[in-house]
Amino acid sequence: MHELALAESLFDLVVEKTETSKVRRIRIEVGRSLAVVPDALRFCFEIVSKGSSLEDATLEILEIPISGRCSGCGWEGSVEGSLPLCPRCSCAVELRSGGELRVRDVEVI
Amino acid sequence: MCAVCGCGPHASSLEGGHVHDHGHAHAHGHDHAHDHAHAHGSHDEHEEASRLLRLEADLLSRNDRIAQENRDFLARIGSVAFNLIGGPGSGKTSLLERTIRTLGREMPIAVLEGDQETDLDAERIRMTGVPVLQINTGSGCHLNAEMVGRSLRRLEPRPGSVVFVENVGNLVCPALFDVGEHAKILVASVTEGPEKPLKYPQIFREAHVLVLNKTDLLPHLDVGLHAYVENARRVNPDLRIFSVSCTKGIGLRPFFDWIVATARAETAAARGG
Repeated sequence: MHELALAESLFDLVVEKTETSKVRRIRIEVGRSLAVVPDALRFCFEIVSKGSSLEDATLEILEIPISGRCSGCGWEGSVEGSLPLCPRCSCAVELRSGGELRVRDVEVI
Repeated sequence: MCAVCGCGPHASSLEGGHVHDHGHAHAHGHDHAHDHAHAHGSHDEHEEASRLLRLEADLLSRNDRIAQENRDFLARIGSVAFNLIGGPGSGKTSLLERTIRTLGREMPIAVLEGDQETDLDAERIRMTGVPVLQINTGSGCHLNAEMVGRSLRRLEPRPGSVVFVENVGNLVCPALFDVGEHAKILVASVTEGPEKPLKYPQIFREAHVLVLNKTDLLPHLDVGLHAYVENARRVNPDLRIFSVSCTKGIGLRPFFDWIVATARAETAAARGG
């Protein structure tokens, strides 16, 4: 559901940085805790970028798994899925990774 | 054949007789609008021309920057903002009405109302007598810092105000967008079901305060209050939780006290800074 909002933010950011250059590829990092659906984000980005210098850009989404330390029992490690809960005691995991929402790089022509 | 003018690979003129010199060895730029479906030789020159720009930029950096400007604007007039988030029908506007009727005499309050359509909520707030502006987001499912910034400057809150920004009813997107608030207040009702914190962990993690509303309806539900509180604390151990009933006016005093104390601390810090 928040994919459209993210696609718009991504579009604004990349246009701001690349101005009128034609963009071929955009690589972003998305932490699993944000529960972003990559296909939905790509679909929204396609709509948002239509008719712009980003229109033909391929959107590469690198999904970053959740890892961190449990706030309850101190357990440390990686967590499957998008819910940062400790697999041992179900308490909240303080994120070391999995909360990313960053543009890594763009390839411009 | 060239898609630009229709000439063959080595032709120098068209049937129409115009002479042109755009053989295909030249780089004929991309100032004209044609796609790359046609074969006009190798694309190697494009491959070489591309370059990698390392951005390493937070996707929401623009929004975050404007949110900080909003915070600075509020600090200059000794005011603070609270971002009221929660699902549709959780009781955000009811909580606001109660809060204004009780605290409106103690401190200046102003309200920004976010909804996709209508100004029904703004109308409800207007009845309480405080300044209010409606922001209609149209297709947008959340308020962003830019919308709030623009509206804040139009609203012109009195110095020392508490500004409540009531976000669009949504448990997903508002979690990501800082609007310049000092705290996010999440309103959830017990009738939504105790599994909500587990289904929408992001918004429960981002919230500073949870107002658990409609406790008067607990006798009609299968689960007790502890189930909601337990799940909320599982995803956010630091969450401050107030159990209230806005319609019956139960349990609200501790929440009001928290608003007053937080607002005073923030405005004092702003004055000191």
